[in-house]
Amino acid sequence: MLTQFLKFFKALNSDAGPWQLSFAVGLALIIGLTPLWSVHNLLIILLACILRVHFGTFLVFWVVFTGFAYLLDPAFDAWGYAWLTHPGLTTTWTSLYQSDVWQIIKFNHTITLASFVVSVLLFMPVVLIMRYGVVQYRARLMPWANRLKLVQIVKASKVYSLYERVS
Amino acid sequence: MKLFRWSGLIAFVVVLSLIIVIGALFLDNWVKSGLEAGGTRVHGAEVNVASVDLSLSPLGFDIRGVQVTDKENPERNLFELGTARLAMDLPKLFLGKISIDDLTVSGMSSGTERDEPGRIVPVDTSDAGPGVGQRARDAAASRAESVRAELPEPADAVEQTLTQTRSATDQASTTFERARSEVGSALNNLPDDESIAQYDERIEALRGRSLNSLDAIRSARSDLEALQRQAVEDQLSVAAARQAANAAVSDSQEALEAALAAPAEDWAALREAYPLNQASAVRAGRLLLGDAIFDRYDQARKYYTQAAPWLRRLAPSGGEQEEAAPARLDGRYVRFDTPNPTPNFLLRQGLISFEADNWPWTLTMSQVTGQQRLTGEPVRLQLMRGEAGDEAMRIDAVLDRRQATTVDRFELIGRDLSFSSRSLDLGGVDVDWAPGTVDLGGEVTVTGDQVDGLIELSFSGSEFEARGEGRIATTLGNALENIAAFDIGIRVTGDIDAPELQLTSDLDNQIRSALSAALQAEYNRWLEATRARLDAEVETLTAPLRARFDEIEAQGDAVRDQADEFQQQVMDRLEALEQELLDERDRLSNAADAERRRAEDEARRRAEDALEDLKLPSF
Repeated sequence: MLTQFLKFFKALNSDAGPWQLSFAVGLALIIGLTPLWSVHNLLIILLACILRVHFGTFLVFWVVFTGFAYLLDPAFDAWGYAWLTHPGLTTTWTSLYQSDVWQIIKFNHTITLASFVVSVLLFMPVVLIMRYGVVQYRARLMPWANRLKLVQIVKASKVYSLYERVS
Repeated sequence: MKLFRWSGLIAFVVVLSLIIVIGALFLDNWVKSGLEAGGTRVHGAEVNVASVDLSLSPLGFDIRGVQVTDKENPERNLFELGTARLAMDLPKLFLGKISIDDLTVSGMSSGTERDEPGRIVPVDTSDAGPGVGQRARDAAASRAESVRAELPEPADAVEQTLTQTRSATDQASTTFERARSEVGSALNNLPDDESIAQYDERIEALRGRSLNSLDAIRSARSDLEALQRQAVEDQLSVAAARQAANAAVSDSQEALEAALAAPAEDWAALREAYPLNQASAVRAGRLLLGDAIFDRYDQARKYYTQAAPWLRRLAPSGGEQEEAAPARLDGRYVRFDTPNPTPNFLLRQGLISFEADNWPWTLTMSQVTGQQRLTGEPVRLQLMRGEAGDEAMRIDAVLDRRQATTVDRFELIGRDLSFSSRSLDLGGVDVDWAPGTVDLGGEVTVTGDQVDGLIELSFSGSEFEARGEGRIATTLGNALENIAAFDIGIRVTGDIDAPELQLTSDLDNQIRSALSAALQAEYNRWLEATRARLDAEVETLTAPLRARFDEIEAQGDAVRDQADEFQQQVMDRLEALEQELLDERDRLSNAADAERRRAEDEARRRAEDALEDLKLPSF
């Protein structure tokens, strides 16, 4: 995992595309917040493999968002239960329940439903914010940091050489 | 940016293609080879599989032409399977539910000829103890022993039955002993001959007295009264002795009568214990059928009770329900109404067909699940021998577990079934029985843990042949010749774990009219022997009682005779003497009164005469 962190930082500081990084974070958001053993996560992993997103970033943020998920699960459970038992939605849920495919997707599981809905709603905002952040980082923060004496010393050190080799 | 990571996409496509290609082209053959190799290694003889076809949708397989070589005879198959097909609902598997749309196992047969001899894999063999045949022979010997124990030897039967007689004779012996003692003491208390002679002498002395005056009479009466007082005392002793003797004789007589009546009670008890009635007809039926049918029932019941927990395990009570409060992070599943809920396990349709006893057998199953409340239908099973519409035997089972109380119903229909010939031991005569054909019908219902059912077997074309010589064998043989058809009903009631089996049969009617004659003759012979034995035993027990009673009765007669003699010799004579004294007293008293009246008349006459002589002057 440390290697993946290093790869992420290297990508952040390289010329890797901001969209690659931001979509990797977006996919990680979905797989991290929703329960792992869900069918839709197979699709997320497949997309992460075949789309040109930064895989290291995807893995790093998967772990990060999984940590958030542990904190948010009680809220997801409450929200999911409220939506699934809402009288106005009962007809919709009941019609979906008649299909084996939807049952396999576990739409009637409180945490799965709420975390999936929240992660999908947050997908594009997170992607856009992440892309904006990467662009701004590279345009403003990275040149300023490279000019720092401390950074130059670090880059000249053997430790940085080692980091370069590992990542 | 370039959208796709071509390396990843290519890897995905390659892996997917490999899976598809392997699944489509090679997997079937790999599984086929695996089944053949694994089966051959496990079984120890060549196993062949004609084809294997695996499918993903529906998930399942179709295996055809399985042949398992007979190790003892490699030119034949120990077992052959035509088709084994399974089709499952794949999406349901992702939901953790097993839903089998079709399960077909057909064309099973054994002993079929192989196209070429199968290869044998050498294996170690070890001694597995006594064989099945030996165990069957041991069981048969044990059963024959138990059948022979149906009627005991006459001596044993008498020995077991004579309880009332023995008790009564013991009681009579005690009563006789007491009576003898009482009569003996009564005899001792009676006045003896010497006393009677003394009475006689004193009476004669009183008779000899001169009774010429009232004083003499008074004196004689005084002596008589003293003698009477003594006689009355003796008479009381005589009366007591007579009463004691009568009571002793009466008690002895009652005890003797009770002892003589007891054998009849024992005989009735013996007849009741070993009757020739419905129960003995049941024994005869059991004798004919052997214990096999009861063993089969026990086996079926055992299968049922073993299967019941598995059915219950497949049935979570109440079907699908809202799950309990979640542990943290587990979340909850919310269920919604559905017209077609799926049980955790469901076999919609199953078919197993095989060949055995040169008959095609078919087992069909439908809606097999433990969660019948979800499907709304009971489990239906059907086992059939023969072709549909012309079946030789059929068992229909409906396992209904939709309500709180389970109801399992089994219907049995059989036609032209054959029982194997067997040898019977009827009353000591060996009888060969060829059962002919049997038609079978009945219904058994298990409600909760209670079973209730009736199975009727109609035997036709039975042939009995009694072997051996002698009157019984001949009579039995002649009687059994007339029995060609009879019915036997088996009623099962009570708790499923310990049911009560009753045999109802017109065999008893047949027995009454035909077999009954032979059995009756045998039974009568046994009864006669037993009766003779019982009579001899009773005679042994009661003969001393009779002798002792005669003795007691003679003693009682002696007491009565002696009492009568005392009465005649003493009391009657005393009464006569008293009467004589009274008569004499009356006579003397009357004579004295007449003399007194005569003297008074004479005195009066003389006084009148004297007054006449005085001639007193008149005034």
